[in-house]
Amino acid sequence: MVDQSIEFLKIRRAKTKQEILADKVRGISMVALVIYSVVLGGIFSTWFALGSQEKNLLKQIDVKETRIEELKEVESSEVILKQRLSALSQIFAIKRLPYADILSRLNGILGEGIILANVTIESGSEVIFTGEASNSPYLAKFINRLLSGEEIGFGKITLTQLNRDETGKYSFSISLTEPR
Amino acid sequence: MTPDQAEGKKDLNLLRPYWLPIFTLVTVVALSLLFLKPKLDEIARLRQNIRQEKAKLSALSQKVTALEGLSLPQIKERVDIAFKVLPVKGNVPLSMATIRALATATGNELSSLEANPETSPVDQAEAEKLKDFSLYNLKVSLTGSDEAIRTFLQKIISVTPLTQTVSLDFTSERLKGLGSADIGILTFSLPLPESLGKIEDPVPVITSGEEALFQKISQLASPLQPVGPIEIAPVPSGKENLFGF
Repeated sequence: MVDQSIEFLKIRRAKTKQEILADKVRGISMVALVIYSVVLGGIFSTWFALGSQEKNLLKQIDVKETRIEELKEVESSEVILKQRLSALSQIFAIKRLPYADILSRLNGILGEGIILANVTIESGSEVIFTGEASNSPYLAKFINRLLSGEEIGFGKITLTQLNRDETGKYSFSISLTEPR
Repeated sequence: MTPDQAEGKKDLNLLRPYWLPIFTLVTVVALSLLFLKPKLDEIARLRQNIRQEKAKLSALSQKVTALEGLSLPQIKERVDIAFKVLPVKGNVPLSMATIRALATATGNELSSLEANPETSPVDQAEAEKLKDFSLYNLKVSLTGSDEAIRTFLQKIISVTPLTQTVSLDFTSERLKGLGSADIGILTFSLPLPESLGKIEDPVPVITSGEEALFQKISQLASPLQPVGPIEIAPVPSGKENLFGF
């Protein structure tokens, strides 16, 4: 019995170095082929998915652009309104003197014995006015009112000219600058 | 067969098991270089495109929402008001007619009114700020009571088209109870914007400051009488008894 089973045992021959190397190379090439196939499949499916995603996005963009085209009149009107309002903001940002107000305030502080002859306001911030005072006390009172009064609204008040004629009347010129 | 040839054939037989695997490996590497690399580049490009397109779609969606939220008749009404205040082209005759009407309405007598586009009534710094506008300089000479001249000065800044006073030379003649004034007035116009910009550019937002400004300019009015539709008296037509004397 033992003899019979011994008869069937195959003789195992040790693989040569060359055969082992050949097996390794074969194994590596198989693994590389499998990895390549998997990567290829992954890349193709990603490319396809991204392609269809892009197509879908472009379609949506097209829909939105068409809608914007339909609403072009609204957009252009809004752009014009914005342009106008921005421009008007620029105009109103330029500080202009309140001409009517300055005349009112000057009239308000004249008082007795003082006559306003001329007011000149140039585009800057200087107001020059000339007038007449019946006598020196009236003039002194007027200048006091001008210097102490807040209502005139100017920081710098300069008496630029003062003349007295033979009748005792004074003519004066005053410059107002630096609005408060 | 020589011994050398026999030796060579033996070597080739030894290499035979490697041929297929080596060929497979070389093919894999070659295909990767030739085919996969461009595909990977294309995927990178697609990803970048998608990122940009998503951003564009988002901008467009916001724009559509913003535009759909606006009412065209309301904006048109507002644009009309803005055009009355700040016209596209300088309309000097209209500005002159406005000033003339205002002078009369405030009880002044208009001595002279000149358009003077050549001289700049503003200094250089101001001219730089206003470089986008077309400016017209009007010179107005008025005679009236002090009060009437003051009223004119108050009202001239609240008429359409927008005007601003830039200089004043006021002379009071107490004995006559009259005053006279030479007033420099600036009128403005501004051309339309050249383009709407890119389609994905957002809809311009009217700021709260601009909204307040709009409320302010919508109070401005023209002193000119509105001209209504001209009514034409019906003209008799057809034969009406040609022989009736």
